[in-house]
Amino acid sequence: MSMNEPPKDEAQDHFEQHLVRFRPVAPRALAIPSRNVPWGTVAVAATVLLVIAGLLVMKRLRHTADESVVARTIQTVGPDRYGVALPITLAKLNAALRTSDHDLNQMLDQASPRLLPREHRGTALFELGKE
Amino acid sequence: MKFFSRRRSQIDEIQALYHQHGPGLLLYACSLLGRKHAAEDVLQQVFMKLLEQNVIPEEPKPYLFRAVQNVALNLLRSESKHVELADIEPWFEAPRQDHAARIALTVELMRIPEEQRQVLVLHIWGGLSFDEIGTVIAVSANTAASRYRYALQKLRASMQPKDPYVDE
Repeated sequence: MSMNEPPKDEAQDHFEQHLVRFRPVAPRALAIPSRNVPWGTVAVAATVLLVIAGLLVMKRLRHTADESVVARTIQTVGPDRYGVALPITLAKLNAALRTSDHDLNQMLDQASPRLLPREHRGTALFELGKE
Repeated sequence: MKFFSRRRSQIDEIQALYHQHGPGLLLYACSLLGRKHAAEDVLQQVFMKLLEQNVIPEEPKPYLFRAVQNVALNLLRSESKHVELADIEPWFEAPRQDHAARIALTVELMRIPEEQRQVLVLHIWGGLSFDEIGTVIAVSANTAASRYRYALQKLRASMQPKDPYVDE
């Protein structure tokens, strides 16, 4: 009993004990947000994310590879790499030869530079080809 | 990981405080508000705030009772209502399932002047010393003890027919 406790008579003491027997009811459960970190859920989510990321990377790599194959094919066989010459047939050449030398030379001049690859144009070989 | 374990231990500590002082705090809020539902909400609010702050006060018992008192009084002010005993939910577990005695105690408790009722509830059911009560309701320990004496006398007088010790 502290210094401030009032002096008690027996009846008061009994009455206090009588009151103490009335126990206050417990409150409802405290609504604490889940305190345990759901490691299992975290692991599953992380795995799913990794799989999705892996699939995306693989898809992207495959797409890039396909594009490079197509580009290489175009580079190899496309008209950009080797300029297609004008169609010259033997009949055309004969016809030109019969009409005039000028026509024949002009036809050959137009066709021959384009038979060379583009990167060779402007080179000595190109210039010689025009002769 | 260290953060999680420290946080967990604090949550455990707060939960232990809730189990230890919850009934007394609930009754104190009931005695201020007159309604158990509102008192429960007040209690939840106080402990949720404690969880958010994540700091355990040095002297938790007086702190919790003062916090409950502040939140309850704020609620009363915001509602601008007088305390009316219109609660059907029990505040006490009566000895020997004496429901009539339980209801009588609740009714008579609410008839005592509020400042005396506060001290009575804090001392008998809250387990606070008069020094601690003084810090909760901002009065001296002597004033708290004096109010307690008056409250007890009034309650004894009003519960005389139910009090087997009064006639002794």
